[in-house]
Amino acid sequence: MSLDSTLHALLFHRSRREAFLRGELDLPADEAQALSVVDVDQLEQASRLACEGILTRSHRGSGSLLDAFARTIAAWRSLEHDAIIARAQHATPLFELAAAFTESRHFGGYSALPTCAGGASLEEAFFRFADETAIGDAPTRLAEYAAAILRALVVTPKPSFRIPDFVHRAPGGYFAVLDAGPTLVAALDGRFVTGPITPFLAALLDAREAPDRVAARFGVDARGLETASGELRRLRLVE
Amino acid sequence: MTLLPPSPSRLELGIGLDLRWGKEPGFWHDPVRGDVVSADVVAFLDRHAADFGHLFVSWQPRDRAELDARDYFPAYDALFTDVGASYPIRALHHTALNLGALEPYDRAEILEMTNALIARYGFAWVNEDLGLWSIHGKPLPYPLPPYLCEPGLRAAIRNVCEVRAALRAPLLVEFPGFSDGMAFVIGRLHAYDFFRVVAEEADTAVTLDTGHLLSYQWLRGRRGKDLLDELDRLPLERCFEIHLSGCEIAGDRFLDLHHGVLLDAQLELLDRLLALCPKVRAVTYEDPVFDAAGMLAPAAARSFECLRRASRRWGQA
Repeated sequence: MSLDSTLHALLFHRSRREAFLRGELDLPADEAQALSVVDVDQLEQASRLACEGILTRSHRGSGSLLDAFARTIAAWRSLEHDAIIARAQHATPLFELAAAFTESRHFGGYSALPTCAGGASLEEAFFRFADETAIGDAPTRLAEYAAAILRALVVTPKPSFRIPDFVHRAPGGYFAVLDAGPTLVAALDGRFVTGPITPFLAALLDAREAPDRVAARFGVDARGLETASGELRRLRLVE
Repeated sequence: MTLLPPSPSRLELGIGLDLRWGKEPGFWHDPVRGDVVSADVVAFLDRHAADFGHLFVSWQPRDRAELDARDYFPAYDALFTDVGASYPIRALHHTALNLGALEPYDRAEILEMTNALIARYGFAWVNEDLGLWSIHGKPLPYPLPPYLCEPGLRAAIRNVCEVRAALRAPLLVEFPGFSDGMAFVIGRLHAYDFFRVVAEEADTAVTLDTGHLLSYQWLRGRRGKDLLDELDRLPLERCFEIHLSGCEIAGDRFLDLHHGVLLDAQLELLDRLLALCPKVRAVTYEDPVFDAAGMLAPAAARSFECLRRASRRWGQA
């Protein structure tokens, strides 16, 4: 550990902070000396601000994590209420969630501007954390994650963060097809577009299979295929 | 030789505004006109064009796109077009240089973008807190002070040297804030000594923020007149700019609120610093609260009037 790693842990890892406050964090002598003057109350307040700020910090296009994952977080609130009350008096539901997230390995993989360099977005980190800890239901988590990323791509077509594999490039921008529905979620020519689509259109957008084979599989004739393809071209989802 | 901004050449009052994106006051995206500055900002700057000589704006990331100065041009163009010939001296307050970082921190892209902004808008200086805006890539809601220990000192000197050498405008390093609930001290070095040594070793000009200085002494347990002690430990000879942002004492908490309402202690500290800093040329009223018509909130207006009266005395001096 170096002093910056220790400070990071004190701010974002509750278990490490609590160990430090109990005097149980194993530190080199020079770090222990530098940290011996830390005001415990100030550290606690700064940590709470930093952790809650991760949930409430708003990003252009997608808003905050609270906005983007509203239904997933609502599910967490309803399940965790008793556990929250059992915690320290000053704890709030929001802080409990923030503390659990910022201590996760997924948060560790996230980095904000200007040092992100193609790393995970905050939404990706939160999605993976929620997925691993089974917060909410899987289709809702994925739908909220996809919508957040596509909304972000509407205003930042050249993002600094990594674009997830399930998001595809299109002539007009980006799109994803979610199994549930199926549902199209897209950032096309500066607009956010989402809605249910037919399984046939979903299969056409899946570039792994040639359009004529897809049409044959769905029993669609050449005229039907041309109509569907024309609509996808009109939306600038395909060439 | 320390690089000082060439202007202003005489002591003057200016204004500093933190213009965030998507919120008023700040920048926002109009579907027809593109990125523009909110009308309240323009109204405020118009209303006070005769009161302030210089204007600094705080850089905030527009979005999460790869850094490209061209993304910022429309909004900044709109701002400086709207203010016209007013505020001839313009500066940039940075928020991403992370001068207190101990860890490696790649500044190449942010410096390139900053230099492009300097080239386009002729910023007379770039100001930045000597603190931590992020750690391990995780953003912090308020900059933390640097590590007040020997490794922290060496890192801060190294960081300031790097940035000062790379920027195409003079760098003013600002004494960091220690606002209650947002900051805590790591290390045993006195922050005034730490700051002075960084300024001297990195040979940089500095900004002294009255609220930040008071917040440090408050955190050390000083009260009343003792808050103004130890000023001789600061790099007074290198001070080019003094900031006054709104602060408040709530119970036993010192809060750096940036609301434009100044404490008497801030005004008293300003007087002391003006007498002690031979090269100070810019006194900047930072982030006052104003309404949609650009009118200062009543409490801030009283503080501003005190400042304006004081600035007339400087003119006579």
